[in-house]
Amino acid sequence: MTDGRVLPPLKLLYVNPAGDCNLRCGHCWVDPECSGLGFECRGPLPGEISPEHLGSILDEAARLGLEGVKFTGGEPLLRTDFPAFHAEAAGRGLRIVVETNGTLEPEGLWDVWSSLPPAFVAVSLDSADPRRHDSLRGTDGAWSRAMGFAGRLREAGVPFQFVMTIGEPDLPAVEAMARLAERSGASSLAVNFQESSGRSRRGFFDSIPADEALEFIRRLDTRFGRNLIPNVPPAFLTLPRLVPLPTCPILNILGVLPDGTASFCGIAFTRPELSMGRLTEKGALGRIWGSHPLLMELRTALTGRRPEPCASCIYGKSCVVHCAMQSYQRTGSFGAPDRLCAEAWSAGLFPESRRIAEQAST
Amino acid sequence: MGLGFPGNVVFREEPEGGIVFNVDTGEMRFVEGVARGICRLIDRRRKRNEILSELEARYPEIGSVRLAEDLDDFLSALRASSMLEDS
Repeated sequence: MTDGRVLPPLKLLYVNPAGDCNLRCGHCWVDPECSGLGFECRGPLPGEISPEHLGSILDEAARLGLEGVKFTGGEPLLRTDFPAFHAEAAGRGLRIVVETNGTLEPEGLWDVWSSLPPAFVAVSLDSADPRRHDSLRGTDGAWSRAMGFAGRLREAGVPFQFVMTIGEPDLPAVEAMARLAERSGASSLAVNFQESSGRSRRGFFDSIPADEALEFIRRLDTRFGRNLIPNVPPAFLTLPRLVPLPTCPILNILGVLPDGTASFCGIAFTRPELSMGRLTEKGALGRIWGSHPLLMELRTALTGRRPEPCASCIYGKSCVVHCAMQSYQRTGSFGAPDRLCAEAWSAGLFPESRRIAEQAST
Repeated sequence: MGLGFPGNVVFREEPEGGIVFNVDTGEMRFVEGVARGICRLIDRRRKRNEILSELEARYPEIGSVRLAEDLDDFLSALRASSMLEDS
């Protein structure tokens, strides 16, 4: 880094081989174009990165400390050449995670996953009710295809989780999904809270006040086992659920968009001002990671002096505002505290045991 | 000189258990049972033998030898993680 601070390792690349998706989910935070191909995959579009291009990026990233790749999107399995992308990354010994809607299976997928299995696959499934899921996804048949996909993951011995996005505090819907996840052999059920971003116009936390949101999270936390993972700041989860601490390693991530543009994650899909240039020429990745002004701004915001409640929270330096990109979308600042944390703090609802200051009295 | 948690390490208890947490690094230990009892006694005043005496009084069913082993193992693990210091 140019200001003398130690450069953090680039541990993880979020690779988006496709910017579009075959589904039309109303809650999507990205708002990708619809491929219009139903359950068919497609080849590369003009200007999209190739597996070989990804390979050259990975070679450069290895020198910066790369440990893993997450394929996400858009829908990564939309690309017919996804198996080659996977092989490029997995063949280098990297830890591979794939986020998918589970409705597409490009030719050769199961062969490459058999020889080079991903560490983990996250399959989006919003409801145990097929009609409800298909309605949310805007595509008939999405539920049955995702469930078939999950079955094949189980048969192949690939660890997988279901990811559901909720727009309102519907506990029975989560309970039904938790049962389905267990019956299906999923290792966990992640619960995401809808954000007002991209195609989604109303976020979960827009619909209810902080005290009701916290009560709902408390019920999720106490009613379900540790294989249910509510995606909320750690300050609001019970202690056994926090080992290991569930945080976003945003300071060690870089996203690669379908045209080879670098960004923090997939945020530049909806916020093009957060693009950092294309990773087309040799050395571009190192220059961007080392000194791009946006990354410098992020590092300063998340490692420097922070506002309350982060400054007083025992997780302030680990949680780093929970999702810096959500903070940016909401406030224009990477370092703004998580919305729920800020509302809980203002309302006097922030957990006392999670404040650093409590140490003096214990 | 007693045993204490460094300034950047907090011990917190809630109904579900306790944690020893380094606020700078995010390193964390979830503690239950005797380990949780030990953490309650790490207060910068008590020394190792004083903590052991307290444990023997609180957990008579476990036995002194086993408690001493558990205490030393736990304190060693905390020291190895820079979560314990002599103050």
